[in-house]
Amino acid sequence: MKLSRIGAIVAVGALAVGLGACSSDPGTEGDTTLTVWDPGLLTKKTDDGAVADNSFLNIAVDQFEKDNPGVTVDLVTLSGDISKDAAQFQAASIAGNGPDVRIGYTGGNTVDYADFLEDLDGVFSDETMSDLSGWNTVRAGYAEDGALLGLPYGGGSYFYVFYNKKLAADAGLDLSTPPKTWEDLISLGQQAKGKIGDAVPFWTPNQEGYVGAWVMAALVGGQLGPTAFTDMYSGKIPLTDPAMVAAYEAYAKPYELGLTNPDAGSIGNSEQLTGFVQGKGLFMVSGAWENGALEEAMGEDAGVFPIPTLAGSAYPTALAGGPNVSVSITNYSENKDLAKKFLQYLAEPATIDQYVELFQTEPSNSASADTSVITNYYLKSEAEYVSSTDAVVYPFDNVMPQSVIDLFYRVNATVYTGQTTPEDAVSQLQDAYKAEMAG
Amino acid sequence: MTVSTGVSPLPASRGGTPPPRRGMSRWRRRERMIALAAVAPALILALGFMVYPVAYAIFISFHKTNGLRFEFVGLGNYTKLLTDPLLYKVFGTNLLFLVSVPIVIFVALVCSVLLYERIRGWKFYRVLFFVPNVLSTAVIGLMFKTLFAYSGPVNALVVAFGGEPVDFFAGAGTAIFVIVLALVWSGFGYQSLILLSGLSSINPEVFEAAVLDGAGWWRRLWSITLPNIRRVVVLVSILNVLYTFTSLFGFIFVMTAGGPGYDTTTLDYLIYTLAFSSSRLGEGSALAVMVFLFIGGLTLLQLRFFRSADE
Repeated sequence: MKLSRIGAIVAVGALAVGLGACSSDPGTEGDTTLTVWDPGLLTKKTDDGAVADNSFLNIAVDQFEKDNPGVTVDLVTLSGDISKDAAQFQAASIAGNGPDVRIGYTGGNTVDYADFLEDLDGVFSDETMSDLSGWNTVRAGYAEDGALLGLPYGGGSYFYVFYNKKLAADAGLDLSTPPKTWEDLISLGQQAKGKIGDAVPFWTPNQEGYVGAWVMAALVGGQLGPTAFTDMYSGKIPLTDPAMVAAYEAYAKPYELGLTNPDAGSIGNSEQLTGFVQGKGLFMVSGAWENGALEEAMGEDAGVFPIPTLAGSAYPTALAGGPNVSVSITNYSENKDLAKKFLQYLAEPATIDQYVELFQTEPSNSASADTSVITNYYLKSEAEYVSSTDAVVYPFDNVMPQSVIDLFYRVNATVYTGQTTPEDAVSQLQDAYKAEMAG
Repeated sequence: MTVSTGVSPLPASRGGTPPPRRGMSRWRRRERMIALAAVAPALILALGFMVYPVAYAIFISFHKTNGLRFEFVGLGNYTKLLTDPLLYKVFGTNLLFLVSVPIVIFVALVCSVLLYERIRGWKFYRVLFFVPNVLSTAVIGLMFKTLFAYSGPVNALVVAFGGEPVDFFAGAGTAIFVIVLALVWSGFGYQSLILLSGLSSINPEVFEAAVLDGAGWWRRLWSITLPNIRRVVVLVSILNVLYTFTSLFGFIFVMTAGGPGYDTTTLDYLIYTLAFSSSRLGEGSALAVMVFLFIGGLTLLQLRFFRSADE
């Protein structure tokens, strides 16, 4: 009996020592792990899931680890689905086991999670604050004195129409001068129909409603100007404004006229670029984030122009988009100082230049950027449009509360396929907005 | 010397020597401690993983919260939900999914009877039928999504037979049809095994006697098999109805994300959407509580219905 007791005590003791040895003690060992969640905004993977050679964040992390011995950065790549990733971040934050650093989208996708994010005021030097642009998109309530919830990264992604030059030639279209209005673009699609083999005029994977978000930003922005959606957010303009209805009606036209792939409502965004590169469509509405992969796959065989606005728009050359990426620190992080150091490293103009050079999706948001790193054919073309625009429209889904954004995506998909009327869609959005604002 | 234990001494009814009270009480106390220690892990698990989350969900349902800040709103979340037309639409969608219950039971019943009768290769089929149960919902969902994609194998067949391809996931009806198929496919194997266990408990002599009396296969099925396993069928029906209201999340999440619009959104998916996608944890919890009460009520109703039918 005594022997068995002694044996049991020895076994428990050994187990405790073993477990203790397994656990790492950052305090004594000096090793710290910084966990970073990225939904594929600053990282890239190859088709087989491996880290791509030009994955910016992986390279930046390697450098940061070298500069900070004893620090390990655990880089977690999320699904890339905006709603699902937001839900995952919230659930993890409530449980207190989310990341130290969260990479998300500017606007609502960051501002809505203010309760889980550290106020970064004071983290960056005055020099950095004046060097970088886009701070207003990551401040609580978009107010100048609102808490700084993230580091805006990159000069912004804008929404464009890409076109396949060969298919355009097959259809006899001259796109050296881009269409001036949305109606002109649809007319070009009608001209191309039947002349481009199995391809459709508009390749539109729109299950999630993202294509709708980009088109609506341009069409509404063209009518109401740069503050279209911030005014809706603040309640100055209702979401049922006739401009929204008109935009929805025009946006749904290509499907209504049979100019898109018939399964537009059930193909997801992940097939957007693949299908376009495979020649499934003449036009593809997307954004500058496709630049790098598009050049890799098609070289200069595609062209790009901004999503045209509706005929008679007050801002005919309005360009929709804006600062896209936000890097935040969670307020429950146990490694806040290290996380701040990481963000300071990311905010260095040279690091942002490296991002621009590797991704070629957007210019730098640093005033002291090295513009020579922009080599991408599409990004160069886009830079001209950015400089000649009469209004930059910060899009609906970067401004509104997350619940309204989720509904927006849903109705975008169903308005496109005619399952929801534009009037019903805007009415639902207005109700959701009211419910959210009423608390 | 005796020590009062506060417990009445046992009567020495048989006139023998009364047992030593001190030893008895110590033994009882020890026995009680052992019993408590034995149930403690289960009790802790039940309290920690069942009672606490349910109680916390009820607590949250009376608050407006994003998980960090709590503001008491009383029944506000409940009234808000009950006046939202979306809830009724989603509830209606859940009712549509109930169509899978009789289908899965019918298929499971046929399979279990065939297995019971040991058709050729029954051992192989028994394993085969169970295979969907070892696959995760995500895998099954992706499989059906691929099968029924616009350019997937099913549409290839449709086109091969001269039809027009169907965009199954673009419309409510067709999307629900595919999800029901996935549900039936993934569930019938397990239900078959449950029914098979019920069948195995029937005395084989009853069947032998029926065969001697000249009863055919259908007659045996309707007059012997089904009446003898009715309790198992009741259990399977209740489980399926519960499953339809609480466990469709995985399929919906993978196959349609509740779309198009909210056409395939179910109650459990709406709970998730409200709680996490929309940061309305209070409303999400209130809906979870409502579904919990509804399911409880529905189960009682089903039990009562089957019991009265039994009588």
